[in-house]
Amino acid sequence: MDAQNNELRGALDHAEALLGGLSRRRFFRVAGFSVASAAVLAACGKDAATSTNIPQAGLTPVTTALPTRIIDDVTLLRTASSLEHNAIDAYQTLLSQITDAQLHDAISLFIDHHKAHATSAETATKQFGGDAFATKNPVVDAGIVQPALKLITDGGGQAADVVAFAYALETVAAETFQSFVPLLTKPSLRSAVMIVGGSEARHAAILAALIKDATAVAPMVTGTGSTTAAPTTTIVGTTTTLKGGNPPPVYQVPGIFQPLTPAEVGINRVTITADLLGPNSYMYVPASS
Amino acid sequence: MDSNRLRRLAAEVDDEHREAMRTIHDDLASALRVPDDASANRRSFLRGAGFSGVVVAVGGLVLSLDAMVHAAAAQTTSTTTGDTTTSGAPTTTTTLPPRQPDDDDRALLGFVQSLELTAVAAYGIALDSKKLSDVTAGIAQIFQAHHRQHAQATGSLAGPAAPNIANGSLVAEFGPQFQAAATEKDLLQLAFEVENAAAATYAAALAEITGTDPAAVLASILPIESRHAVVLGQAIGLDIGDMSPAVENLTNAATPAKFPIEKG
Repeated sequence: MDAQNNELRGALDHAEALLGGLSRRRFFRVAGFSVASAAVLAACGKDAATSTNIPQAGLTPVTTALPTRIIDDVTLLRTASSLEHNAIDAYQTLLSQITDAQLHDAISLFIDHHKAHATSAETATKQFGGDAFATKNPVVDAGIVQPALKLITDGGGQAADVVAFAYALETVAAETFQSFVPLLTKPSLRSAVMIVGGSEARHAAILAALIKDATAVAPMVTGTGSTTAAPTTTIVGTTTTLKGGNPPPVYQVPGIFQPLTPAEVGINRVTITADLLGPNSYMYVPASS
Repeated sequence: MDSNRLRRLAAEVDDEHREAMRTIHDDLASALRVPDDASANRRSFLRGAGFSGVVVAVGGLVLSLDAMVHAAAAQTTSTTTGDTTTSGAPTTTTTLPPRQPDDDDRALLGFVQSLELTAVAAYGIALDSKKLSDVTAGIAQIFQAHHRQHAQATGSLAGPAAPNIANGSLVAEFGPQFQAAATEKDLLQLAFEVENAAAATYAAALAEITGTDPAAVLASILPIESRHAVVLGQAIGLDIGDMSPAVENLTNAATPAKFPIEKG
């Protein structure tokens, strides 16, 4: 059973790797049947002699030992700089399409911030003996950025779509850096990632204010069970049902503590889910040959 | 300046907080109890040890530290480097820092708690002034509640080192300014500065805290203070650059040396 579970997990992991940064939940919504079929086929081969399943034809694939991956401070710093480059690259791509002056100024400022963040992470990487990662994260690019940019372009480059994407990207960055804190071995590095993480959180809060139907603060439930209604901003627009279901409400301040949950936003009438980075998207130190 | 009013306000926060903390201490006592022989070297690493199921109960909201600390580890395990995609078993760090707070951590967490309780008192002054509109008063109430919960969380982690009172030095510094604020905008500007100071203080504290469990909690609070600052900055019409610096400004951080906890 353990071998079958490992094969199932391997099939799921491989499938998710191909889809890049898409969350496991979204993957199931998109291609659950394909995954289940692969799992059944993978499970069939091992116990063909005694199982009542349909036997597998052909040769059993040769497996290759998997490389050992170390999640250390250098890996996390490399991942941090890679994510900053995703933001720089995406925003620079979008900047020429933005006609709204306020949004243009915000994105321009954020590009400058992300450049500073990238430099800081790259410098720290070298200080701790690693090779700096000075380009965009390929998993994030394939799984989040490129699909979102295509949706934006296909929708005519609407400001609302640009804002939604930027909000999602900043949320991913803010939460990813937060998730790094207990993984980093040095308190000085934890502080360093969070002075950046705080900046990304501010970016997200600024952009959230520009999203249709967004609210300043998530409502709180008081001790008596009543709800303190958060003040609402007035957004002019119609309600649209998005493909994939409407995303949850967006708040500038999501709650008492910043959660580590995917950002879900609507872009060009499609709901996308952007998950924070994890072991499948870290920029590991290449194994020495 | 009405110093008696300030002292009464700080005392009210103190009483309110003590009542809220009464059951939390009992709930967390066994989870956070440190073994008698825990005078471990600050540099010792405890692989796989510690309280893997530590739960911080904050005003009825139960936070699983495991969920907060190990969110990244719950991700899938396939990796992509260059053109090669591989999948494999989860990886682990080769050396692990301690999860639990040590005595120095608890002292610092206690200071942070006093800062949060000061923020609670400051919003209390703002709300009592009746100078806030309905919208901003609603926001101030929620932000005050957030800080109250932050105080409960940091106080729980501080354990016996939690002072459970507002920071007297900070109350003396900011209280008169809040009292003297003539307009809503003046109050919101002060609140904006308090939130910036709080975010910076959390960042500074992270550079000192050795336990990863309290570090994870601090890392979940810092962004909220930052977001508070943005909401307030927008309410008073600040330029985007003024409410969104490239990085959190550590010069705004409050420290125990600069603002010792002393009962007002």
